[in-house]
Amino acid sequence: MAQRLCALGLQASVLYGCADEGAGPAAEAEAPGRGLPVRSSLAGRLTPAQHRNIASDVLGVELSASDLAVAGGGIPQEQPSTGLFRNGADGQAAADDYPLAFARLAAQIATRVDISGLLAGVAGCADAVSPCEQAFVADLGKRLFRRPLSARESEAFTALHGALRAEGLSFADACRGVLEAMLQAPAFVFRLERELSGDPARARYLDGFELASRLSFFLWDSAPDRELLELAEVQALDGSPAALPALRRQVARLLADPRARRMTRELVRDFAGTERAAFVGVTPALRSALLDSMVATVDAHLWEEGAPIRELFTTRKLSFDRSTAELLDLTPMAEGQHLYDVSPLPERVGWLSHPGFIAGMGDAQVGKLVHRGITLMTKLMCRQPIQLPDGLEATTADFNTMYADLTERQRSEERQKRGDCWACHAQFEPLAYGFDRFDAAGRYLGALDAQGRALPIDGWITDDLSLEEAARPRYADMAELMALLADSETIQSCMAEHFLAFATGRASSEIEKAFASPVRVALERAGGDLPAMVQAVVTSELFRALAPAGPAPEGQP
Amino acid sequence: MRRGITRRTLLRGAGSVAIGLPFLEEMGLPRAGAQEAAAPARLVTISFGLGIPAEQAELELEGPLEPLAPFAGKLACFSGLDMGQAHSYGSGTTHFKTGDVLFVGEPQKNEYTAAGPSLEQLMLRELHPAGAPTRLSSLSAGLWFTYGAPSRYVCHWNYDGSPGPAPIRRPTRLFAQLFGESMPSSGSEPDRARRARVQRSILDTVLEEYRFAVGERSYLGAESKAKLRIHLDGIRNVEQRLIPTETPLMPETPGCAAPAAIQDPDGLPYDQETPDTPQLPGVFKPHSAPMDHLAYLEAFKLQAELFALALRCDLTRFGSLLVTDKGGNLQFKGQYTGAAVGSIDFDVETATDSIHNELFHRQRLPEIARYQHFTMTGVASALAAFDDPMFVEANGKTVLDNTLVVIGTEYGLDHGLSGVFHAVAGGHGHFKPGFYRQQANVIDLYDTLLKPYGIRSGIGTRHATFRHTPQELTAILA
Repeated sequence: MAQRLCALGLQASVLYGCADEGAGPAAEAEAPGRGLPVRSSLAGRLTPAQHRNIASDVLGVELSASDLAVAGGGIPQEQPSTGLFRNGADGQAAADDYPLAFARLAAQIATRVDISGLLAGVAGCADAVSPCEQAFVADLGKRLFRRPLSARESEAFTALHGALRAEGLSFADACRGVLEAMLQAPAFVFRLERELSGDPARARYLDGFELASRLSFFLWDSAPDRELLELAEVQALDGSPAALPALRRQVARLLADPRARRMTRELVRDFAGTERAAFVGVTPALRSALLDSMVATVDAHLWEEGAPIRELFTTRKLSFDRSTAELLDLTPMAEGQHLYDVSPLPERVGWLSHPGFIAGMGDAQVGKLVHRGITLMTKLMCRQPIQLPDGLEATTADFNTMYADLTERQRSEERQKRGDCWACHAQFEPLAYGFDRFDAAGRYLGALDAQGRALPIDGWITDDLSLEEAARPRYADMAELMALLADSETIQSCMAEHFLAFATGRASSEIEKAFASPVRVALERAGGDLPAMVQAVVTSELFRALAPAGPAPEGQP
Repeated sequence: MRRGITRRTLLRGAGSVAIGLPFLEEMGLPRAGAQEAAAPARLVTISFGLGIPAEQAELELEGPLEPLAPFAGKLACFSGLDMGQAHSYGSGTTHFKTGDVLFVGEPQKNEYTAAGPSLEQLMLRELHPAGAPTRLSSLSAGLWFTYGAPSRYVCHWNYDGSPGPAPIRRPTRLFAQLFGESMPSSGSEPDRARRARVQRSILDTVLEEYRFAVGERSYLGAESKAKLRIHLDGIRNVEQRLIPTETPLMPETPGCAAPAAIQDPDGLPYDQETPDTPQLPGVFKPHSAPMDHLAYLEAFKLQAELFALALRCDLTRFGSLLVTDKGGNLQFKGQYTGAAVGSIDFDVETATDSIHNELFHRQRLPEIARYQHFTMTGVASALAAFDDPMFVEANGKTVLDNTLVVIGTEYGLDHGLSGVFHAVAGGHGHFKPGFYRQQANVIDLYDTLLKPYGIRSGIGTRHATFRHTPQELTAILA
């Protein structure tokens, strides 16, 4: 097949196969870089969710949670890497167990795949007995590797098919063996880009296949479909400015597909951290229900209503299922997720007041405000806490012992009196005051705690640290807090930064921070809804270009 | 319930067993002498959390270190080490920073990535650049129940500083790792030999793809290649565990016989989820329900015995054991008594708070000594498993003698980063036993330990300012 591609002179064959295993794409003819510096690429191992989605989308094999569970030999769940999201390539753990898990899953998928159906979809393989192994290898390889196979790869996998046939395997079983090998190959297991291609001194636009892959992993958490690959193959899609109209059309198409809901689920899961809820009485089922309700809340707002992202902070419609409604003493409805109008509940304003988010902040007892404040600062303002001074742990323990009888807010006010504490705590604690009437599960406690002490929720936001503390925007209740957050440019930029990091599969860095502000501006101009955010992100050069990690291999362009 | 690997099971009635050593060409030791040359270079780290204050380590075997007394003739202890470089990394609480420096030496790259490899991975790469000569490149086991950054429980840092596997908690899972498991079949079921050839063909194709991807003609950059190389190393595990061959996974020598199925000691939350929630100083958040302290020691001992089995059967030569996680908020049940230090009632001490907060943050030194005496009992069980005289190797030495065991912790004096305790056991006769109070950075110790193996560690080259003069602890070299 690769030879056929070469004969046709298609860009794909120039890129990935033929004589020299690579040459510069058309996208390199014009280089990015007039704007902000972009990133070099880094191999990112597929997450369990991506593995499951590709098995389903490309091979029609549905992997259950137990298939993917470590106990059953599945792929270890990624921890969020250096950033917020689990799809990040940075800092991924690597160990003996991973190849083993991929090998087990590959065998399992190869056993379960409808090989006749797979062959029927390959041009030239009308049935499972025709001698069409080259076409099968080329077709399957392109879907799984997200680009055409090189001549070397094509030869290797075709040779494997031959070797398995020589062992007496049927044509179809030999195809299963090829599939099993492809599912363990680096081009499948890792998201790879041509890091050393092009002039090492300047950034280059992604070629069509690289862009198709970034796009599909961002929006579908899966491999590109045939349409994306075909567009890449005929050079109708790449990272260059000339291809922007085609890129926008593809974004619209992918967003219209139900698979795009995977994007919001992954984003919300890692942003909210609901799966880490650890309050007393939480169960895996309740954690899962909280996450589902949180995702349903966001989906209803962004997908069904098409409302602006910033209005997530002020929405009065939150989704709950029976168990989460019961957790909050709301009247449970029938099975499934239901949107509740929470307008009569002054404490429930915006997605951050959903128990799925509050519970995801952790179950701290003493120090709850500190904990929540840091969480809010990290997630809403994309700021990390400063280095803790030596000996702080002992000081904190003493402080907490000394003020054990005070409420969280009173302890915070004590910290305000200590300049050495407040210099840092001022950056985040006041953000959390508004949440002080929620317990670790996100249940509303009322205006007084169990001892009858007042739980004030007024405070101020800390998005602009250049302002004197007294000049920082103040809020009296949850509604005012959420209105301030919704209007904060810092927070909207941070949301853009999260999208950029998630879209590129990298932990956020100064480069993402630099792109966040222009993305925010583009988002606002385009109406501020989810499609506008996605368009702003994918049309940014950060998404469409990469900085070569070094010179190309000797003799290669 | 059977809770351990009995010698009877292992020896099947044999007396003292001399275990065959690997071929000479696979060994990494300089040929200083015939006896040493017969032993493969091995390195195992044993770590524990929260540290031993220098003044207690300086009590030598009359304080919390008392359980190590049986190994005094094989043990070099250090009470004056410094890990201050942990503070060089920007944000975060100190425990995850020290966890990254322990056995690595340099400040971490970021919250999830160390500056480089841990000692055992460094030795593995330096002595075996083409890949480990054993079925498992390395092994990591231990007990941990903490949350947060991986450095709190990960002891294995890959060559590029990425975290290796979390230690295996369940002894039964460790058992499966050593003795293998079956592969699900795909397609029609050929006979065993044919099936092996089929699997071999598949894996050979996969291996070739990885070799190309990390090779000179690859379009990948150095960092991606490093990541793929680690994956490539792991494929050896696939090859040897999943492809049916006539060659058994374990050598067919008496000391390597598969013990009867083992069971995990009851009462430990082996499968507890570990949500990645930040742990704030002073915030009491127990990392697990209170655990029976005897079951804890029993589970660790079982892990250590399996680990010793893996070493003496040459399934691996490198690895790590974790007795207690770093900065963990553990709670225990029951009363523990150490002859030299007295008793600690865990039910009382951890009724409302963790060992970490209740003892270490409040600097209750007598209770700290008792708790770490308990921890040292765990360390001693590992040394005993390694030093079992029933299993002498071809050079007449025990596995402990033929292994460099580096014991370390994260904190020292006043729950700070000076006066940090480390110890070295075994080490192929390269080190002089004793107690050393010399002030030095952990980098100096790590460099010194690797030197007799012909390894210039490179640790600390970017952070030379942390070194002390004369940069080597020459006094410990035999």
